[in-house]
Amino acid sequence: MKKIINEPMDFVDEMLEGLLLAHGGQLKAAESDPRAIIRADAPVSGKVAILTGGGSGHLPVFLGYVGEGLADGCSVGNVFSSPSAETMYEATLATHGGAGCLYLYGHYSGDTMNFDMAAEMAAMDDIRVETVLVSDDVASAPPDQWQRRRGVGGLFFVYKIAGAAAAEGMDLDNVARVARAASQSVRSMGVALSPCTVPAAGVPTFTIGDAEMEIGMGIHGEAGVHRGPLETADSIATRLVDAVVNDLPFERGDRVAVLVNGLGATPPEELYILYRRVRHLLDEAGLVTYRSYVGEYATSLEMAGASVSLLRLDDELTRLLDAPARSPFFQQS
Amino acid sequence: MADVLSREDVLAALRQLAADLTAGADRLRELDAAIGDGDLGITVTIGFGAMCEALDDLADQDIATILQRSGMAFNRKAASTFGVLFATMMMRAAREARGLETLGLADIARMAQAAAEGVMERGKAQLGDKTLLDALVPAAQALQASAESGEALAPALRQASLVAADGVTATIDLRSKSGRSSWFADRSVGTQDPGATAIQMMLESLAAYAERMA
Repeated sequence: MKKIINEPMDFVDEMLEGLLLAHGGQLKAAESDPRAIIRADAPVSGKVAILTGGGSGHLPVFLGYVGEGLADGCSVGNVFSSPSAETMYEATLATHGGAGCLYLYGHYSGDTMNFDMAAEMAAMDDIRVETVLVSDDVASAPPDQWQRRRGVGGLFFVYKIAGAAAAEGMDLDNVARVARAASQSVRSMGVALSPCTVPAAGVPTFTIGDAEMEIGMGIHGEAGVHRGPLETADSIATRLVDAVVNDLPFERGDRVAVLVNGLGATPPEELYILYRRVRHLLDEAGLVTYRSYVGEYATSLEMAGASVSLLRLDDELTRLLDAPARSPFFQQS
Repeated sequence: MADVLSREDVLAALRQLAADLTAGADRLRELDAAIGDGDLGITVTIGFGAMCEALDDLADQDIATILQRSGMAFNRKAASTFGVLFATMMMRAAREARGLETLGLADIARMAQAAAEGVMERGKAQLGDKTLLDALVPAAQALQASAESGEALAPALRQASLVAADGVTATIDLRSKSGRSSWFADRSVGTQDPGATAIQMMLESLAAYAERMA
């Protein structure tokens, strides 16, 4: 795999340096830790601070959702590996505005352990932390054990909801409540067409044949639920939508937001071809599509493929989804 | 001579522990590659290297601070599962050591127990899940029993190290129920658990330190 990099070991730090040079008006690194990336105006006094974090290699997830109406800070790990508890703790100290903190991130065991430890350290400083995990990948555990699932593209919706709640002045209990409501109402399913290569490893994380696809593969190359010959966009859309709709399940008349997300190497044209059929299927199922998002929202380096996420909306989630938000990677007015 | 570890002993014992575990990194890497994702060797090398650097700056601190900060230094550079569990053990042990100027056997037993409880909480694992707890829990129990029977420090640590070694041997037949290796659960049978092995190496290192002291 060809990459535009310098030393593989400098991948994350040089990415962050470039990001801060480009978007210094919106983002900064905490003085105490260059891997703790926070809003340029942090801490925002009196507002619940939303902290996230995880391994690099998934932009815009995670740090791309640090911004107004979104998260306040992000601890940044090496490619596909958890940041340290200390980095999350430093991000917490640098963003805490006196109203407590919500830790909001995707469900992976390394991240969970580090962030639980950071929360324990924050508690020693009398900073209250609530944690909400996103577990939207239907391929990774059965429906009755949905909380064991991994977090993928649906993270975007939960950042958007929780970020809007904090921005409109909700207290920590209520920000956590709407974040949980969003997390319980979002489901995703993906397809991978090609592997990705972690820069420091230099070889692809997994192999997949030129004419093959894998449904349900995780964003680090974790095994999916079906591997077979590559199918048409319409057929892939049917597989993904069926898996997502039947899981929650979404029912006729439900109001939904839709995300068709590219995994890194699939062009927007193909995402819209996929979206076209996804939308037909949702219409046929009687689901009311309230908002649609098409583009790269959660990636796996240069993996080719896509995912479909659906969020079921009630009136409160609709209001929060509609609220403005602004980061270097996502704007909605 | 009082049968306790001083602040200087704690610093020296941690340095020795780092050196011994780094020397065993290849062995840990091999075990981890067989049933996990193979990153334990590099975690140990990077993590203990970072811990030794931190110890240079901690020479004037009390025991609790030394333990807490050296554990954090490990995790800062090596935030893998083992890194966060090691830092958790150190943080919980540090909490038990707060305000103490020396550590006797009863203190060490209490710290080991707190460390084991921290790992269970953090990793949501139990004895028998084929994790480092299979060495740590019986070792903590052995330390407690030795403390209650008035045993001296060095033989108590030696006994804990032997009990941990038995715990490691017992993991060979276990099927992994926690962590990355649980994704390869059937493949895990027949290989001893790398995390438990690392704990046994640590206890061996501490026992050898106490024996040289005695």
